[in-house]
Amino acid sequence: MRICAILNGGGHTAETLALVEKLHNVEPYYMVDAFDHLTISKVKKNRKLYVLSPRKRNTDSKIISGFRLVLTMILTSLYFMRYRFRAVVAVGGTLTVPVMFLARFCRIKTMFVESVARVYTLSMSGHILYGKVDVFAVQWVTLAKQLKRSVYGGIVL
Amino acid sequence: MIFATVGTTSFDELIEALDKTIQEDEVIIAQIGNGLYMPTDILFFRFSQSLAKWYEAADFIITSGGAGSLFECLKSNKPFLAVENKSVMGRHQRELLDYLSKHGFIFMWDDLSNIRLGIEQAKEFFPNRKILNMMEYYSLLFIWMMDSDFWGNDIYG
Repeated sequence: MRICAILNGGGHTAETLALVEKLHNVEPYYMVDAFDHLTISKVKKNRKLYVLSPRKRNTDSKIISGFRLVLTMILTSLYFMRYRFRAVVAVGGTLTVPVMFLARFCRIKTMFVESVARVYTLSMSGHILYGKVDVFAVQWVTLAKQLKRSVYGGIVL
Repeated sequence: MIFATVGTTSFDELIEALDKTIQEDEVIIAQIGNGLYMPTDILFFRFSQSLAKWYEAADFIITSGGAGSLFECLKSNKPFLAVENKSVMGRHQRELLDYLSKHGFIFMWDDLSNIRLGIEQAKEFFPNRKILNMMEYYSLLFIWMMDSDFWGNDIYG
């Protein structure tokens, strides 16, 4: 089945690629920022969905990032129409929250895995998405004990 | 050969400390990311598609606290030293580094002005390798998510 994995650069990319490798019988498509050359080089040629990353934290103005977000949402909904994904998976980062909410709106299943860097507290995208996705998995037992509606999944890397 | 990596962001303080304290009979190669500091005595490059070959060639690795590089180092079975990058957003590396070093998985060093001492101590450190044998449930979680009823069924019970 076709699924969409969101790559956000850096450690998030490494974790998402490791996560997708562990899922059986899936045909993954990767959503990447069109200007992130390092991440693009790690993905197969015809499995890329180019969008624009909405916000580089504290580095650009709200108007420009708002414009980027709107463009990304339009592109993402076109991709969703074109490919008919069954599920969306993500491990946090800038693109996660808007795309996950759009996926819920389009009635696509969503799986969020909290980053391995978070042992005791949730990340910003984790805070927003907690309880709003189909599967909310965390990678440490210490975090899973605090959060009632999360599932412990083990270290993905 | 000592290999130093800073991940996708920049970590000029570490590169500078290594550059100033290099010894005569020593080769240091560094991946410096977006850093602005140009080292004079150590060899460097900015990004690479995969750092696996560098980890393999190195005798000793110095890494920032990013989750991706930390777990790659843990898997490489080489002695390594982890240094926290204090300039990243929200200082989120601290959480993972504290947890891992508390349980004896890694050796962490904070004092950048005295980094040679850290390298000497990290070479004698014997890590706990239990962490790599942890169970993973992501494939099961994914199947469970796809099997549960479409829309409106509370999978958390």
